[in-house]
Amino acid sequence: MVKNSQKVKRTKLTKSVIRPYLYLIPLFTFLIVFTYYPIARMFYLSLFQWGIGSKKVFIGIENYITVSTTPLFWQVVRNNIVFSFGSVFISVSLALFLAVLANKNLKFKGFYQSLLFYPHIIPLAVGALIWIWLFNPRQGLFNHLLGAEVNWLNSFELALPSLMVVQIWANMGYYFLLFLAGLQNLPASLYEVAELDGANSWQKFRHLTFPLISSTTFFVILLAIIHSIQSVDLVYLMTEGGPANSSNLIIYYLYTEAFRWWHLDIASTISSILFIVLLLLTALYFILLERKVYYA
Amino acid sequence: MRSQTRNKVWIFMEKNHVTTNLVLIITSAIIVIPLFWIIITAIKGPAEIFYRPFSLIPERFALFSNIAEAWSRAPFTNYYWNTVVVVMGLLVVQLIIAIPAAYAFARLEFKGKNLLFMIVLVKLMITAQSVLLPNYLLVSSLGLLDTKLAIALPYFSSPLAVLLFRQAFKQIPQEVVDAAEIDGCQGLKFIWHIGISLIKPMIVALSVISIVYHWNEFFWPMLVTDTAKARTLTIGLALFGLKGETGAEWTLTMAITIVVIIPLFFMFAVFRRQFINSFMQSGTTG
Repeated sequence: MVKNSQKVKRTKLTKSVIRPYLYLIPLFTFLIVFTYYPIARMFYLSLFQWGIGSKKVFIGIENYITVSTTPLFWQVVRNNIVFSFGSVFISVSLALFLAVLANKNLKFKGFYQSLLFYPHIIPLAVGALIWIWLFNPRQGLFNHLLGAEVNWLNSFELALPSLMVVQIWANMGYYFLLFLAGLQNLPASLYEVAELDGANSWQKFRHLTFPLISSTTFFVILLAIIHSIQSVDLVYLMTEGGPANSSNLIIYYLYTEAFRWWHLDIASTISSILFIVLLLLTALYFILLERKVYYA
Repeated sequence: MRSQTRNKVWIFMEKNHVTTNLVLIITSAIIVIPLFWIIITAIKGPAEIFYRPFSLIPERFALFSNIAEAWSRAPFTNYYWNTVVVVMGLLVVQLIIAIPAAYAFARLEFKGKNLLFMIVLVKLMITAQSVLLPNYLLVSSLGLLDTKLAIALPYFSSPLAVLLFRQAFKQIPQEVVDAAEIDGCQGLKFIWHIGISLIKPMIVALSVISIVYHWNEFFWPMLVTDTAKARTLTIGLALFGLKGETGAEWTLTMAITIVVIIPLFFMFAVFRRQFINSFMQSGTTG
């Protein structure tokens, strides 16, 4: 009898010790096989000279030296900085401006929210198609409205700014919603005091809203930078990086190295660099998000 | 006298938010132009594009014939079916994998819990675009190129789902768990019979994010597929649109665009609040 109950107890105990791990096995299987292992392999492969079917030769950091001495790599990085800076600055400041305006008891607030937000829920690739049609030199609406005959996507100067327009269009409404949510958490009492002191709207924005919402602003900017690095769909569909690489961005460059020229060693190296940059940015984003959650 | 009228106008405008509404209407209108132009283009007859490219009221309503024509030129039925299978199948797998794991992280005690949870969180910081190449190499070495499975595999373990569900499981009062245990309902049984219904709002939120993200995804599915056998709608539409050189084909492309985005708009209309809240939480990943 005693023996039996001990046995039951023991199986119960082992069951409760093992159980949590059983629940985690599927998650970690896929996490390791389809995330961490491929990433580790990418870093490992970036240290070799290799290609499809050719033998791997260990060359240390030579691939990194090759990449960092390639002028095209730096041109692409520069393009990406211009693209990110331009699209982030315009979309975030416009979103903040509109959110401050809309943060009132407006009758049609929900309506505005939907109209500004809808581009974010349609596929970016489809957004790209729509804009190719709008930018069409002869039958496009854009030239018609401007009375111009500009070949937007084939122009050395205008290709990258044209992509920026699409990026801003696609994301501005999302940042607007994030700002609106942030603004709704600000204490109304402060504004009442400011109004009693006779502060005008600019002063209220400059000295109250802007400092109070700075944590939201930081994390929206960071999110926008991450979005702007990811916008490979636009480049692939709208310009293919051209003309003369004037609109080539980092992920598209990686794509051409890997899947057009099959320089898999160089591509692994670019991919490793990109991975680290994006990881740092997203880590910063989550740290800010965490702060916002706990201290706001 | 004049300054008084001006004052009155100013006060009226402040009170009724006239300027605010005006700015918002103009901005919204600019943002809506592309959508408006999709619809105008899609309902035009293909020939009309040539002689009346900018007319706002088409001569005849050709939306359905445009859709039918495009449908006959490319295997959109396949694309649609593939998309539904990938999106729904992936969502089910994500839930099956994430729910027990989230329960373990929220309610069970075990060694290495914090470390394991950190490993999950780090994945949240790895965006899909930065692992395109390694994932491609893996999928290709497994011989899975050009399959629906290849599109979904890297997303099976969803850290966002684990994070959201863990939060929800933590909010279940201990008494509920204890009471269920007395009735012999614990572990997976508890999760299945009681847990799921208690965390339902979070399941809906995650589903919205996952469906929209994967319905819309373009680059990864494009990389790993070659044929209509596995290709999804976004890719099919994009390739169809790129092939179109003349304006006539744009009426067909825009007609299909409407077919692609209507399910999303429908979901948005039904779950508007839910949608906006979900997107606030999702940020960088699906």
